[in-house]
Amino acid sequence: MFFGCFSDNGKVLKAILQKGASPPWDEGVISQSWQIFPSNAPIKEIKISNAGRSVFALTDNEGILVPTDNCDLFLDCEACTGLNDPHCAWDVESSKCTNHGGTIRKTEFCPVVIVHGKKMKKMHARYEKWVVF
Amino acid sequence: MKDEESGQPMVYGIFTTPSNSIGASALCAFYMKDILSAFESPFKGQETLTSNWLPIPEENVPNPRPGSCASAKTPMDSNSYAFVRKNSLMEESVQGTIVLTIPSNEFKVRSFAVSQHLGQPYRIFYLGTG
Repeated sequence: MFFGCFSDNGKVLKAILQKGASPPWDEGVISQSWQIFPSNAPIKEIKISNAGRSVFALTDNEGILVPTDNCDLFLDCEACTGLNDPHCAWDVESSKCTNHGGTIRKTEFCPVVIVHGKKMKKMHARYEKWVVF
Repeated sequence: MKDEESGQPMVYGIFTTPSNSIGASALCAFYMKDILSAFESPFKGQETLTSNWLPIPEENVPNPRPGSCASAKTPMDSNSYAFVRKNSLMEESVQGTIVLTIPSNEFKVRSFAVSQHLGQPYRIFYLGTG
């Protein structure tokens, strides 16, 4: 029997819709999932605030303001670019995952790793592609 | 919001499966012009309870057409109201684009917000589960 009780409520999913070659837009991907309320609290309303720097999520009796980027939680380049999050980029100089805001020199490539005996580098996560060089 | 390339007004909507089926949520995109053109298509009606659903010939649609603005000179009469109550379907459906499908029996998406970043090749959606 199904009681219609979801065990995974109270989440905010951050989804990215990349502009694609075919109109109007490519299919989106979920970049991150934040459990911001207890799992039995359904989120009834979401508003973007602080000029896109936060989202305000409301349940029936609570509201929480969440920052829209948490790049600094991701400590290595793979995790950072693997987010598919346009807010976050790997800063080669400081070796940090950071909200570039258009000012920091970001990299399209993570540092070289060896896969199957081949030197490879992963391109920016947007393309999910490995290239041999 | 507007489609940046064409400048066309568009809307996003969340759709979920009913609670007695496989759980899934979908985020879809629609152009306003497609929604408006569906309302300009024939109304869909059933002659009797056992008849097929068919497009209603335009001559059987009251004037002013339901959905258009009635002028002060020709206000809507009771026929029009009866027609609207009886025929709430249009012949054409609105074709949208699926942006994201999220199959899950653990949650459904109930609310969302979208942020557009002008000049950037992406949009970011924040989806609330409930």
